[in-house]
Amino acid sequence: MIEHPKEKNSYIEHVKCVWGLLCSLSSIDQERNNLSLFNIIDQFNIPADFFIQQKSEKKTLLFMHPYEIILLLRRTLDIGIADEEIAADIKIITIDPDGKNLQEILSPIKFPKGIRRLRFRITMQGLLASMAGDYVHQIEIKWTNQDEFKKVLEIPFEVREQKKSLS
Amino acid sequence: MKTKYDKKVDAKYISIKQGKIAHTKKEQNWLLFDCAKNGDVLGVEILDASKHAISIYTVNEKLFGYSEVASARGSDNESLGLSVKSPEYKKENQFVSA
Repeated sequence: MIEHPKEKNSYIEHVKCVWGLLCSLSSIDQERNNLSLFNIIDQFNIPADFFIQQKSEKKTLLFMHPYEIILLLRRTLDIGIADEEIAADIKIITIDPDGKNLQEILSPIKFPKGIRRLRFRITMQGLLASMAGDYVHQIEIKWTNQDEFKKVLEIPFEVREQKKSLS
Repeated sequence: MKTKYDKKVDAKYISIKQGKIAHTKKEQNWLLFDCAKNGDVLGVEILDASKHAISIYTVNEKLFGYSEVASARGSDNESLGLSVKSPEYKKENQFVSA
């Protein structure tokens, strides 16, 4: 396993988070090994009732809207040069417009020998939302023997309050 | 959440929040929850961590649940797919309580 030095200055990035997206559904074509993403999400429309109920009940509510967080990570060095197993913890933090952490997901990832790319799909049942505004899913990574997580990506999205129509 | 992995014993500790541990709950033979007096989970210990890949979910600094990480190699044998499903939320009414 690759040992990542603890000193920040001598930190070597062996894995890179290439991109991350939100979508309604994803599917892998087994034959071609391609990933299809359906309905890329950059906006959630949530009825006003949701926020009213949340305020009155003083509870954190989940808006039922299943979606997926998709991340692609890849080795920075070719496996012909360095093919050691790489292990890390990945953290996904949902941050609301006030900068409050609503939710954290912590998950282990491992690049076994011979694996260049890693797709990570997290299926969410719904969205935690405290108010309308600009949110982010912040992606952080910590290598096995490092002390701190490091931010590698932010996936922004907007939550819009859907007003009731008068008709 | 903060994590610490002890390579010698292959155990991982996940700190959720600070506090005094009142008791430890055995969720599984390999999964232990350190709890405060009020029942809040302060930390999670995963034994044989290399064999048990699980995602931990917290909502407002409280443990919400955990779920297993599934992995599958791609047909090219050079890519790996990891997938995980969020734990079930309680449905109390029109919206769901976390």
